[in-house]
Amino acid sequence: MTEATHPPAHMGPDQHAGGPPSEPLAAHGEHHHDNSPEAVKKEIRKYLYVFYSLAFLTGVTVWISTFHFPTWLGVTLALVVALVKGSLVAAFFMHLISERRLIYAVLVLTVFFFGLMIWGPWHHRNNARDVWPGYDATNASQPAPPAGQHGSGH
Amino acid sequence: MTAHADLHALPGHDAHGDHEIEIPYTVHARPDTGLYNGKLGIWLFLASEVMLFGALFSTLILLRTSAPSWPHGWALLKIWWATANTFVLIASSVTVVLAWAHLRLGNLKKGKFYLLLTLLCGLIFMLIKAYEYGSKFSHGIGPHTDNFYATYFVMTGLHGLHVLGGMIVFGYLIGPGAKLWDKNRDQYTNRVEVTGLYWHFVDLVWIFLFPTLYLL
Repeated sequence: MTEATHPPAHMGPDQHAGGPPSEPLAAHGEHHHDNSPEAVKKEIRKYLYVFYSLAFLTGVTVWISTFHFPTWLGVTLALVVALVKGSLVAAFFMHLISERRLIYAVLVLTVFFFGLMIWGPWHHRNNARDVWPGYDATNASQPAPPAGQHGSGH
Repeated sequence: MTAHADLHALPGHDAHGDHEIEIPYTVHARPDTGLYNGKLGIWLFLASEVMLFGALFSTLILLRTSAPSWPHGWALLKIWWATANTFVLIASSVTVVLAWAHLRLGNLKKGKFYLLLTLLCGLIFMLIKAYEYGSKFSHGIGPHTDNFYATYFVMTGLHGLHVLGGMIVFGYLIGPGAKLWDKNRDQYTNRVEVTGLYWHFVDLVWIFLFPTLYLL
């Protein structure tokens, strides 16, 4: 990546031909992180708590899987735990808990279209052969192996 | 004035006539978005990545729900290695935010140390993944075997490529990219932040891949 050249001392770091000076930018609601040592140390503690929570929830996910619940229950429980873990990562590590409105707008659109993509095949799960031309159920998978082979993958 | 001399007079061209691109708003926020450009850029990129992985998850749902039978991931895959990989990726997400936090405190040495830990976590993840793949290939199992393995290899393979991409960027930020710290600390810190956002996304994808492929 080409580095930005440094402007003269009287100009702000991002000031360039046609660009506004740096000072007024803060007045437009620039997103500031508090860089004081106390605030950053507090943040570091928060990140560590999130890490412990994620590690614990990973253990919970694996523990739940050992019960071999019916598929619908297994899927529900696994997705609930994954959603909680994902929310922790997004909220704290990706700072979505205190982000700008524009990023929320981008994400709302993203989630909408993502949901649409997931809804399609889920909605037609019982008549895929009629809805999706070329779907080949005969090559879907090998038969499920007998139970009791937990973790015995090749 | 010659055309060459005119070129020198233009903004963005140095005395040698080389073109230097000035990237605006690398540190301070644009007034209209409230964000520095790199941050908005990475979020737009991540939105497109959600669509990419979303299409694969969508395909998995179609194949799995419509199949006459579908094997359980836990019966065919090495879940303990995948669990270890989950812990490794979660740990790497913490190390990258710690790197960013220490850079904000002005401590480049600690920042680079945590970036190096992140890179090591990525390497461990890839080594475990290589071991998993190797054990499958040695048994003649590959994406051609059936739809289960096709989705397994495509989704984990694409995710692995993303891990590799992140590792390359971290390597750059620890090595030659760190020179930027001397010229513009804030810009370097912002680069670490946006790379971190990408890395957290890669972690996020794995959080959903792990139960979907291995545990159900």
